Amino acid sequence: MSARDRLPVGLLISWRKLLSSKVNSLAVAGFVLLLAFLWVEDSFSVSFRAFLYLHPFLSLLFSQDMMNDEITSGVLENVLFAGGRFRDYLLMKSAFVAAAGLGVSLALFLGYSLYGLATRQLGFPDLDRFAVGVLVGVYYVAVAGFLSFFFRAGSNVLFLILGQFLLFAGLLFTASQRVGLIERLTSSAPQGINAQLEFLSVSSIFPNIVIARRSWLNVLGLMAMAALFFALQVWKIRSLELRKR
Amino acid sequence: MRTALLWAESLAKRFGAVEAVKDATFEVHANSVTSFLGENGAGKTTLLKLLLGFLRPDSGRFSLAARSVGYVPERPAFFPWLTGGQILGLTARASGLSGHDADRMIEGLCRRISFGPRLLSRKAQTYSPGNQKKLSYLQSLLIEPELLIIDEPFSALDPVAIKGLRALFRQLRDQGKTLLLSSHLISELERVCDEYIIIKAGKVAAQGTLAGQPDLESLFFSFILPRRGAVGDEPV
Repeated sequence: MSARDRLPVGLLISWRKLLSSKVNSLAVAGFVLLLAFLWVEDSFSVSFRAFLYLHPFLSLLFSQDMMNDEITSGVLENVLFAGGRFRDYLLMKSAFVAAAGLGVSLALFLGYSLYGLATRQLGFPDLDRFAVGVLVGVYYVAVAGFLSFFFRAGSNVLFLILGQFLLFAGLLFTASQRVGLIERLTSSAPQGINAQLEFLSVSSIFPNIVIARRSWLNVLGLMAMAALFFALQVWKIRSLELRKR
Repeated sequence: MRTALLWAESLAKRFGAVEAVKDATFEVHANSVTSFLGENGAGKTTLLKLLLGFLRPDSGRFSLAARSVGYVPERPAFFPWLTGGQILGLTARASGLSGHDADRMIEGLCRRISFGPRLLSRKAQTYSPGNQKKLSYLQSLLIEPELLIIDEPFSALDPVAIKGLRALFRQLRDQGKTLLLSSHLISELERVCDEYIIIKAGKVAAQGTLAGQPDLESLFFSFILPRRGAVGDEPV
């Protein structure tokens, strides 16, 4: 089996998994319905803005159940993955999930942009906001993929969502004591290294915030964190052995 | 002099405090049916997983001269979202087989191991353990491996399939293929193998050919229970 023959096999396995997942189908359908609802009830502009801020969550949901179940269930102890080829397959999976998230987001973005330009509701498509959203989606795949080594099924995604919920609940219930923090997080140009580190910490849990605050520093910070989690994934996969079921 | 298709030197693997494989040195000759024999927990499966690249040895080395290797695990598992047909399709694609050739081969192989082709449209995870094992055989045979490694070759299978497999093993050897089987069912192995490697507590206790040996069972017990004599001799 050559590497050229194996790559499409890994892609096909991942593609069929993505299609067979009811959660993924419901997530995409639910997202499109939400956008349609906003469009009908409010306006094209509100629907488009909601899309720009929320589409990275599709990548997060696609990242459920990426590693642990396949590693422990014994499905990788197959002739297709002998000779250590299961590692190539697992490495390819993250790239595939990121590409799948990008594919769905790009299709919706193109739809919005073409309609917006044709009806003159958009002067110019929000390319930079969309590009940062794609980066946020890639970050979600990197983090959720790494977490999926430790969490079974979709609990890697639930863990991240729970983290976001706790972050918001914490900020909400302590808002009066943390006025400074909230002001710094919402400020267009926070000053000082401490303010930047605060923003980086919050964006590590809720990276969508970077879509609103697209400074080069914030984008670079998110890129660095995504690279770190991808590096951790590669390290885990390179040292992985299929020990027992 | 016989050619070694696979040789291993001083292989060792430890899981925490457990030394699963220690200093294992052996050869598997080309065009032979070789059996790994050993008690439960002797380290047979760990050795196979080391040879297949699913585990990494802590020390030692091995060399595999086969261009393609098939593998049938003791209890195969499959991606729950794939049908048997899709799994075979992917295997054929990975080995560069065209759709028509693959279909023809699958049809022939299904007959050989008495696997109902109608099952191929169902999710493989829903198969009985025996049919999952047969699907794993189909996958491995589809790639026409030079070396076929099988863990517990007859477990979960019905007598008809076992009979078919015995004939198939002999046929594969006659075609120049090499088979490495691992089992503790000596009576079944005796009927198909011509070389043996006895594993005891993670070590290779003995290796040789069956030619000139009284029988595999006596040989096995002479290494595994040298002080206790034959099984059944112990007082009840």
